[in-house]
Amino acid sequence: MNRTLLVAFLRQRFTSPMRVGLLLIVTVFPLGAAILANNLATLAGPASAIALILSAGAIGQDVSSGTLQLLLVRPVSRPSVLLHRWLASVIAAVGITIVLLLLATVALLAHKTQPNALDLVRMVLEAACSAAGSAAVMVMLSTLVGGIGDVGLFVAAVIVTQMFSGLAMLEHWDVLARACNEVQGVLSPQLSWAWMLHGTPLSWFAITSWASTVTLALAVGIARFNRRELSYAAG
Amino acid sequence: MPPAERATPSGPSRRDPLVLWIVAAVLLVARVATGIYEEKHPPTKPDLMSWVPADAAPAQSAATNKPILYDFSAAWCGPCQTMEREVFEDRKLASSISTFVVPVHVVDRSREDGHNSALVDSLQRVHGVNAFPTLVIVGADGKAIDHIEGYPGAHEFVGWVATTSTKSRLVPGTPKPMFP
Repeated sequence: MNRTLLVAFLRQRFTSPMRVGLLLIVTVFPLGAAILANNLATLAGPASAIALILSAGAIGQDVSSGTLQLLLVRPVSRPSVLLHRWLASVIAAVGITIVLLLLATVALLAHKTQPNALDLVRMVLEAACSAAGSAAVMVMLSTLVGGIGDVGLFVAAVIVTQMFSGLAMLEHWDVLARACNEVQGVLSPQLSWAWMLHGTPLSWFAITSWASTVTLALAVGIARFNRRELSYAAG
Repeated sequence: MPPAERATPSGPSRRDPLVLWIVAAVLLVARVATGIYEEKHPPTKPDLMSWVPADAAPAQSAATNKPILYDFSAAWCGPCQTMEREVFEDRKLASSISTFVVPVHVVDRSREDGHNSALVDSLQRVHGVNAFPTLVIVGADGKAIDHIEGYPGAHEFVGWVATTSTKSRLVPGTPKPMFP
């Protein structure tokens, strides 16, 4: 593991005022809601959003600005750059989620409510899985377009899927509804760990779906990045 | 004399991740296979709550002298799923609830099917259900004792069920809570 690549990417992300602002929005409101409602359930969602914010433009933005061309002069391979950027996004998203959970736990204890320790473990595991999934998809998209065009691609895909999903529900088209469900699963891969802690049935389909989405997104991202021509010329 | 060059990794910088492709392909095949298998043999949830059909609940409530707990929910409702996972699929909490009340699960299907059954519509109208989940505890005479809108958290929910059902039984035949 190349620690320099991880640290450099995170430093770049956390010195961007826009990203820090967005991170505050997606973390402060769920934390406030958790404290007001005396319930940790609202903190189940931010990990995926944090990972998306951190990994947006992971490759494309640096290609457009010319930073990546300079970085690749160093003895680092393209797959290594992509994997480290994905990993850095996941580590940061999970780290922030753990901090949020700790803050909310302290607030709940102050209100004399003791959160279930196993539920906290489950929430951290689920946060790690959703962050890994969302970051993999966003990094893959960022190899396809320049700048932060990956955000546009992601939003467009979500909107189109929602539209088709609504149409399928109205017209009772089961095949289309199923297809939309699968696409939504690919766009925001999540994995529930309730089976391990609450004795709910284990779904191998859910596990293989999440794992195959993450590995496919990374493999496609690396393949596309390897074949991308980076111009060293100005402009 | 120039300084010795530092050892740098050799090899192509654009090597395709063959191992990652193989793992992804295997997982994709497993995904399709498990999807087909689970379509035919869906994983069954443990039946920890002894849900009672809505039309049979009043008779069971009268026979056991327990109030009825109506859980109004919907498949698309996130907090309902959280409650299901944290309460109804937890062996200890599910058992506690069944000790105190006759549980009835009322699922709204209007968004999926465009309409509900007459019984579901009638129950929602009688108990003024506007949001999901709505939890209503009803005495044996059919009058609501207390209700909650939204999921308050596992332990708060079970505590509320225990307190409300105990209050309702303190005065036999009176559905009103003793300490309003």
